[in-house]
Amino acid sequence: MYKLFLCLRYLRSKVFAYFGMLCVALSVCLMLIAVSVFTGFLNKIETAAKGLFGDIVIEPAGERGFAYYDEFITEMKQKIPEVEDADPFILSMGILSIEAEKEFRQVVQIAGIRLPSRARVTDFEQGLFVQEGGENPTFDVPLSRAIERLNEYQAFLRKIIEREFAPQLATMTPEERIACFEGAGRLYLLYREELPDDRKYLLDQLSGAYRNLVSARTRLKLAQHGDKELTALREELRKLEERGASADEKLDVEDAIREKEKLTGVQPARKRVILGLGIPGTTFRTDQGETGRYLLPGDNIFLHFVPLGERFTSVEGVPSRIAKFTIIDDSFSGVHSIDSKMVYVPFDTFQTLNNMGDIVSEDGGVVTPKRCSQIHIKVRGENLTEPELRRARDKVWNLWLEFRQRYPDAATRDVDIDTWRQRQAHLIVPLENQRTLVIIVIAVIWIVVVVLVFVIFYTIVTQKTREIGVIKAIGGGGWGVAGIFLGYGAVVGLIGSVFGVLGGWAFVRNINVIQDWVAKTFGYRVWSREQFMFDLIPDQVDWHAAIFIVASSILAGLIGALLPAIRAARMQPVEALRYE
Amino acid sequence: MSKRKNKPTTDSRAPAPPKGLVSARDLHKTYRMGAVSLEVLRGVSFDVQAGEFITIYGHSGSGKSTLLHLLGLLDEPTNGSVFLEQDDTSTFSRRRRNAIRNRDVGFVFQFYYLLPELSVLENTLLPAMVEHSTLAWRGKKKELRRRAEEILVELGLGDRMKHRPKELSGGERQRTAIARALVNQPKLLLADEPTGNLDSKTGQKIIDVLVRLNREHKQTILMVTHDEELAHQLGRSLYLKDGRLAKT
Ligand SMILES: Nc1ncnc2c1ncn2[C@@H]1O[C@H](COP(=O)(O)OP(=O)(O)OP(=O)(O)O)[C@@H](O)[C@H]1O
Ligand SMILES: [Mg+2]
Repeated sequence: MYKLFLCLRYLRSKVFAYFGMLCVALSVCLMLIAVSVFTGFLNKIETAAKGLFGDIVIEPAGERGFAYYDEFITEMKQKIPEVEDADPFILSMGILSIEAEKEFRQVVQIAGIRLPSRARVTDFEQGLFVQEGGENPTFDVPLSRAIERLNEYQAFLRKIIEREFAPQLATMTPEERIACFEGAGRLYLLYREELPDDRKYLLDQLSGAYRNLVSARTRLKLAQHGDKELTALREELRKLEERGASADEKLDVEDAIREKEKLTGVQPARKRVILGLGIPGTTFRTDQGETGRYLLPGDNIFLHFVPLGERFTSVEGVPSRIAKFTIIDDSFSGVHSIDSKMVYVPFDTFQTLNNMGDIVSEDGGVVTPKRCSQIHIKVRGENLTEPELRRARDKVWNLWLEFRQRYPDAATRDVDIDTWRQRQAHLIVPLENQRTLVIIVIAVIWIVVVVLVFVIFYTIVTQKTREIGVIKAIGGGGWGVAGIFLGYGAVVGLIGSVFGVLGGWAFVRNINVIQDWVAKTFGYRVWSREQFMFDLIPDQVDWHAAIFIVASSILAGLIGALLPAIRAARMQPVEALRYE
Repeated sequence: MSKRKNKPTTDSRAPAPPKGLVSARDLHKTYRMGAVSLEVLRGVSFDVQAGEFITIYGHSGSGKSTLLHLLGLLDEPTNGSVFLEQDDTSTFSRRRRNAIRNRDVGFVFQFYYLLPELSVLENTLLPAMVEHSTLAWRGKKKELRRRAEEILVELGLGDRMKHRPKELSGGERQRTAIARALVNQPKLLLADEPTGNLDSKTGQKIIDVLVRLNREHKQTILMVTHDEELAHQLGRSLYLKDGRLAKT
């Protein structure tokens, strides 16, 4: 009975005990944060890599690409049970510019993708703006859906404006307020000059976004009205093409279509793009961390690019290629290096534009069949380990060796077939090395905790030697006395680690808010998006690690208390009583 | 732990068989400090009958405390044995010695040795807490508490029970220590210069308490003092000199 009683009583009245708890709490907190961020980072790489490019990637060396991809995909799906699905992919680079802003240009990566099949191989359907939560993403989004989404976005922008400029709005008449939200122009005119610089900047951003929104939506609405006629014209053209009509015959219809399209400005499905959300200059962030868009579904962009086998600049009268596209959606993956660069274009469109379609000789024979740059494969099953993926990869490889016999010109050069982990090895290997380092650091911290607890307990036991003598003199057994201090150590470890976990949990969950605050207050950003690829610092607590850390902290408390406790247990009562 | 070798008892002056409550037989205690060894007790034998009040006196450093510690099983003799009701305690297990210290012997020290974190009542109850497991404690808590309170009231500490030791005077502290020694109703109360740290008036009150305990409750008491006069006033007295009991 006395063990528990004394243990609790000692805890209550010893400042030392609180020191011990504090030091356990701090180290647990530190360990939990370090491990969580690390694990989170590795997980993010995995999710990102698989989510973007599938489990296994086939990529030929050089730019020429991989032909007979559809044949190979069909064979893979037939002959390799592990292959759930596969999809071709074209990647090239280009420059993005826009109609309205003459000075705007950005280097981008242009990806030719097939929809909706890509969603079966990767997580492409996740993080779409217009087609949020949709299973089957497409470039042919119903315009009504896009308009709906823009209405929601308008409400969102309006809420931000109302929040940020509440005092100014409060002084307006109802009419002025309505006018203000017709384009944010009133707010702009009435109050801009009175605002401090950073507010002025925010107002400019918000009103710019608001105006863009209104014009993009107008364009979509116009197109929606003209849609019926356009559909009819396109249908007519399709029939003509089917019939094998000559260019002359098609000319009229094509002209009519072009006229209509120019009127509305919205391109047909094959000339639409999905924009990466994060291309510099197309988005902004509020203090609250909300993302605002300047470029929206309904806006038109130009892509300048250099098709295979052509030159970049217009030498000798050959212009580099420019194509006009309508944005129909945007995509957020959370991987900064992807979101800040990618423009997704329909596969067939980009294949043709990039000179990767069938190359036909004078007499109509196919010289070079159409190609893709990569094939992305989804392997059946979730959370597959690397060895499992390697096995599937080896089967694909064997099939490829055999396929190559039958289709010698499928690829002219070497083909790499790699799992996502092999492809990301340049990221993962250094990270795993760093993780080892972190584990070593944590082990050192752990030893420090043990030593600290040990010192604290040694001091306590030394201070209490005479009392230990008393307890033994009145019949307390050696283990009883040791038990007091072991219990004490365990409680210090337990309470300390509970607070440590709570602290670590709170920190990790709010790590991005904290970083924003630090960046704003001290002007120093620990986590730069460019450096770490991801927009946000991982903010999930690694609960497996937490359990382990708590267990080891209690163990640290016990080990630290053990030696002093044993010392206390072995003393003769008189020795302890005589202790000075 | 017991490293001592019992002397062969073929000696013609074989010790008398133990009788009474506690018996010391040929107790030796030698302290070794490196090469030097100090023989403090050199064969002490005597018996204590139930209900006696015995005082041990002698000069400082004569080994009084050492002897009392051996009798209270706080230490082990280099040679010889302490008998408790005719049983040789040197054959007892650690556990049994702990239990005897807890239940059969009460110890009062010169420097009180109270636990500063506990109140007077809790200090008094400590031996009872040591005796009972958490489960048994629940059942007996009320009764034990009442007993402790009775003892404290009897010792004049009725209004001090919630106080911490540091809030008490020396005499009150020593009375608390006596209460703690009595709470498990020991057969033997050992007191090592209980008045040594107190002024004479307060000291006399403590002695009065002990005398009353002996008279009214038939409490067997063995008390160490270096006050020869006092020793002679109370019951039987033993004089410790040169490690042996001397004739008074
Ligand atoms: N643990 C020990 N190690 C070495 N010597 C010791 C030890 N304990 C006691 N002594 C010595 O044994 C002798 C007797 O000590 P003890 O405490 O029994 O004397 P005492 O008669 O109680 O004296 P006092 O009246 O001053 O309390 C002293 O000389 C002391 O120095
Ligand atoms: Mg002494």
